[in-house]
Amino acid sequence: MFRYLVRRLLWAVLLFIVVTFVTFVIFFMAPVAPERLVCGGDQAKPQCMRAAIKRLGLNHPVYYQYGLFLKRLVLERSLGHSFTTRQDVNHIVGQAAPVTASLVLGGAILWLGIGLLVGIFSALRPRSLLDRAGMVFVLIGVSAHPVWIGLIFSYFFGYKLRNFPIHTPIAGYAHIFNAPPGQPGGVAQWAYHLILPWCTFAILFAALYARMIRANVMETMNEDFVRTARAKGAPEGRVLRSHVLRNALLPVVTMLGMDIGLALGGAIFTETVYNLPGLGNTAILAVSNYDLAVVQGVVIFATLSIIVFNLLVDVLYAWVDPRIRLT
Amino acid sequence: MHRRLWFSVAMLAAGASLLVAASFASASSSSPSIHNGGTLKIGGTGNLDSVDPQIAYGTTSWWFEFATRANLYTYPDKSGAAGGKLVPEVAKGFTVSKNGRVYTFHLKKGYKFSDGKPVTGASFAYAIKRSLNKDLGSPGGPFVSDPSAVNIVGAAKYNKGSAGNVAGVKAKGYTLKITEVRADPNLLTIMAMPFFQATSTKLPLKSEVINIHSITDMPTAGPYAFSFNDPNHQANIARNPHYGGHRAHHIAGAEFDMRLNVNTCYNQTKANQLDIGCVPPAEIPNVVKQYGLSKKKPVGTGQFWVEPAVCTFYQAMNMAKPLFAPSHLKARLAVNYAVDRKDYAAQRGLYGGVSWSHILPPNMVGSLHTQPYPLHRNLAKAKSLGAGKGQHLIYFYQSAGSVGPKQYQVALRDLSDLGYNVEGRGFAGFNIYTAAGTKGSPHDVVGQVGWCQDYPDPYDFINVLMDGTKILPENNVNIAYFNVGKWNKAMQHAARLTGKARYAAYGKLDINITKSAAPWAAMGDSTNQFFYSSKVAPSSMSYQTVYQYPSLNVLAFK
Repeated sequence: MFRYLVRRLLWAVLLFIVVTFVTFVIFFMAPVAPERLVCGGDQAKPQCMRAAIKRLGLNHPVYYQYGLFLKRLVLERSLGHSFTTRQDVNHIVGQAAPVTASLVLGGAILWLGIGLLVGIFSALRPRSLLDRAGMVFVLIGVSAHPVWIGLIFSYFFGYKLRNFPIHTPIAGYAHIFNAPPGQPGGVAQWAYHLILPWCTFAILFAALYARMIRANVMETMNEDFVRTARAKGAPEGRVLRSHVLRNALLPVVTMLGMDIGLALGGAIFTETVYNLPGLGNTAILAVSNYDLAVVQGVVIFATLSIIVFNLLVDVLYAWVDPRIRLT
Repeated sequence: MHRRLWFSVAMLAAGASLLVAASFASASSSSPSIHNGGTLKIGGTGNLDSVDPQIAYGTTSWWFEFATRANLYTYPDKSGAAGGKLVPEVAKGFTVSKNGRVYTFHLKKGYKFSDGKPVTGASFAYAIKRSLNKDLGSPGGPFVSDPSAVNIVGAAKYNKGSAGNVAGVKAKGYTLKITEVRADPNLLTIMAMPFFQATSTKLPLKSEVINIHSITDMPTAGPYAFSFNDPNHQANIARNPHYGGHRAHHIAGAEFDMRLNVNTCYNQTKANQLDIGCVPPAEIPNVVKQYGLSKKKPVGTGQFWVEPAVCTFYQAMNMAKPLFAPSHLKARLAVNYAVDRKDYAAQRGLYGGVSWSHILPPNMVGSLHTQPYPLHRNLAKAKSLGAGKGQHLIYFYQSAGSVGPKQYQVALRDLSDLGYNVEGRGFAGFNIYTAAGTKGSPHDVVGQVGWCQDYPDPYDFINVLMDGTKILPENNVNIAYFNVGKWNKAMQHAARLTGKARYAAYGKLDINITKSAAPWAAMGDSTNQFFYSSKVAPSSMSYQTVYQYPSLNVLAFK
């Protein structure tokens, strides 16, 4: 187990270096001039741009800049400063990560709940009305784009029903702690502002999970050990709980770990529609502003999330399924 | 009889009181009342590039700076020509030395920063020093160290780091003395830019103020001060409790939510969750139908306004290349006749722009309202000038966004019809300026480029964009590489004039360059659109001509 963990960590470090280097190279391959952005865009003055090039360290070759970046990251644990807002990138990512985590974790609970319910009941009653309704939901869920769903939700629940008690905010995020002046704060407002983003974010994943759970449960129900359990007279509830679900849900653990890790890197569409200041929104803004420091910050956070969650899944998998040994 | 008289008197009194009441009623309905206080919620797809007075340079940033700053001279909170006239703000007045190089400003004593400290001459000297500090890297520095325009003595030396102070700026109590290297009448206009507002020494000289949590974190001396800033997310302003000037300040404060999704922002504005919001271009016809289209005065509900910008959009012909070399005037004239300015402007969407055919935009002081070229193309006339004929033409265009690619299609049609074999090369965002601005750039024509005023003076367009003596190895704004001695001299002569003579000279020069040298095909100007909630009083929506936004300090709730 220990050797396995060490090996995985070494691979993680290598992956981390490759990902950050590729991001760096892609950024410098693109014909952009961040100094122009810093100096006012199309009306930037040459004198200002010359000073900005020096200040941002853009006068050095790519490999040198990358070396500086790694040195700063390892020795000072600093992601540097944004090219456009001059803010500390650690602070930017630190502010955005809780927003995305709120969206993803709440959304994950919702999608898992819906996915399990729809998937299991559909599998238990194949071709029934319930199953067909569930599969219609799945079809809509995988077909409709989150941006479209988000806009429709915000239009109806936020704007059209604004005079009804059930209405929700059209957009925005409420911080649990330290809300900015003039903005709502606290747990209740936090949840209230996230109702629509959670639903929007969960629909696609809920549909995918429902389809996968349905297929897994149906397949497991035809296994020999399930038939044996039934033949031995085990009650149907126990057969389902101990024999079917325990086996059918193993791949769900893998997928959940990977999906949460991936989504933490930026639930881009949902954050964009609801103006949530999370990692996805931050990444989009940074890319459109050619803000390499922030792009790198988000990429590093996403990479680390995926590495950590994959590692967690592997360890959890060995715990859930005693047949698996980590070597 | 006696009783009847009393009855008549009573009826007369009742009638008179009814008349008085009626007159009050009609007065209140014709000029709807506004009330002071309340927080204006603003939403937008853009952001503030900075809140620091010496760093902020975007138009949206300057909108907020206009509400928070106090300058020596400023522009009134008015629309039209009145909004473009410089008036004293913190300065009582000034004197100029006989040689025109030394300006002495005498300041009023009542102005205070939002932390209660007084505004003195040193506050303005610090603004100039901070703008020129090389570590801070302010975009304002070049405006006071331009060798061919406003150039303060010692500015370049301080900017290089070889002097500890700007030698040409001296402050003593409520007096400020500025010495220029050579007399340039534009100093007052430059000093009215937000970079040179009264600046508290609480702001660090070498680093930018970024995060703000109270109005004393970054004190400013205007009617408002920034009370909060979280870059790219939210910025708030609140009333300056120590404000000593006379500008209006109706609202208690404003909150700007940045980087919103345009459709969501539109729904939020319609639902009164935002007081100034967004309109997706596709929704403009519906908005006009539902709320009316207001231009100079409120129409319909007075919620949707279209106002003129002060920008010029153009297609520049590269005179450093053989195709449009200085001797090929007919070819440049032919392009000017071949381009369809109406079609080109239409690509900006409904009410998105106006067609125009010379350098100075319609709302720039000195600009003449005449069109040297037709707004619809005259292909026959263009062809008669003998250009095109299958020649290879490299065209730089904006390939990103919704407008650039469409305008390129119009240009492609026009130039191909003229006979050129057009090779388009697309660029995203600002990259087109970097590419075309490098001396030796391969473009023959660069399109979808523009320039908006930094300050309301024709110099900012004519000399900045056209003076060939300023061409550098890279980052040029003269992307036509127009460099003809005769015209350079004419521009420099106009820059030395003052008052009406200056504007008349620039107006004439604009038309002469456009007709007789034709380095560009000027295409038109853009507009600014504002969509308000129904809570904002339409009578308070005063569009400030110079800053091209409604004055925040004048806006008020119904």
